[in-house]
Amino acid sequence: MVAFPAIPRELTVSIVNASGVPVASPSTAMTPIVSSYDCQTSTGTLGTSSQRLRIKNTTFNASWSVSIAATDGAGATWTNGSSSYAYNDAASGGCTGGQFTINSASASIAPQSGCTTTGISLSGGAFSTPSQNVITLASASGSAQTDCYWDVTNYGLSQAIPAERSAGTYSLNLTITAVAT
Amino acid sequence: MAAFWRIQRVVLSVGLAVFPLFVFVDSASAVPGKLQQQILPLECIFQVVNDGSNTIIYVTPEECGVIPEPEEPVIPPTQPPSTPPLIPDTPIQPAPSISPALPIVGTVSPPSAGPGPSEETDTETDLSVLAADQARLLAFRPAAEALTLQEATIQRDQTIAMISLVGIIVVIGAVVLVVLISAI
Repeated sequence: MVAFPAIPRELTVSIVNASGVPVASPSTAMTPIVSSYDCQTSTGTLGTSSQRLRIKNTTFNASWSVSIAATDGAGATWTNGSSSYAYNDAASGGCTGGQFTINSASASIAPQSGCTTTGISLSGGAFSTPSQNVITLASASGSAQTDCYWDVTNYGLSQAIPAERSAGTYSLNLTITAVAT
Repeated sequence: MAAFWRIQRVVLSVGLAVFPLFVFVDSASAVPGKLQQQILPLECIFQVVNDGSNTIIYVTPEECGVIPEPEEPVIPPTQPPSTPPLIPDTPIQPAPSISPALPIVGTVSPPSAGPGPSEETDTETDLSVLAADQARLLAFRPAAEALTLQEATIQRDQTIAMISLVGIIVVIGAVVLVVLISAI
């Protein structure tokens, strides 16, 4: 009987620490703000040295896309259990209900040793219901390599917070998804 | 027959080799994440400056807004001291003073009044704190009145002390007088 190794062929996205170990419960803290009678903007970073966004592609298909969306869909909100505000309301620059934006200008991508970033592009955007409920973070064309992984860090995050929000700790669950294209 | 088994083994081997390539290809993946945002309460510092005639309330930072003009505090009329002062002094003129120096810190959570898709049901405006602070501010007695009462109290105490001293002297004098008369 001949034994054949089962080689996993997969496209995965995960949050790993500096050692490459998956982080059990990844979370990102936005900068605290003080409740105000004016609209404010809080900032944060998606992808740090201890929480890297790792995209791994060992399939035969070089094209993939990684996107982010609210876990609970377009109806999700930032909530502290009793009070809430929106992440996808573009009205008045986000100051009416609240809008979450991801900026890739500061983002960086580091390929696995021996691999390159050819064919891979980073992107961002602002959530805006109903048209923009999913934001593409990264995508690879057919010229991208396979059997590689890439670590992406330093996406700029910003959330417009409407005036007169109640004090508290709010949270928003997001899901990052990788799919072959 | 041996050739049949050989062919069957080759087919099986090829099948086992190809099987994982097709079965274990996973072309989609997802990872959950959580974003957190802390909104701290707005801390307002109330500071009262009393120049002897007017009380000015400062509220900082600017985001705390402006406190409505407080009404004149109702101060019950002070009772005159039961014992008139022995030395009717000239009216005491209070010197202008600035008090109190310690600011009072209150916490104000703005109400949830923003329209939009996330209608909120709670309004956590902590007006009670604001009201409490205002009451506390209004409870401050003007410095002039406090000074007047303090002086009056001192004068009354001095009067009682002097009366007591005179009484003792009179008693001692009487005793001495009685002793002298007895000796004579």
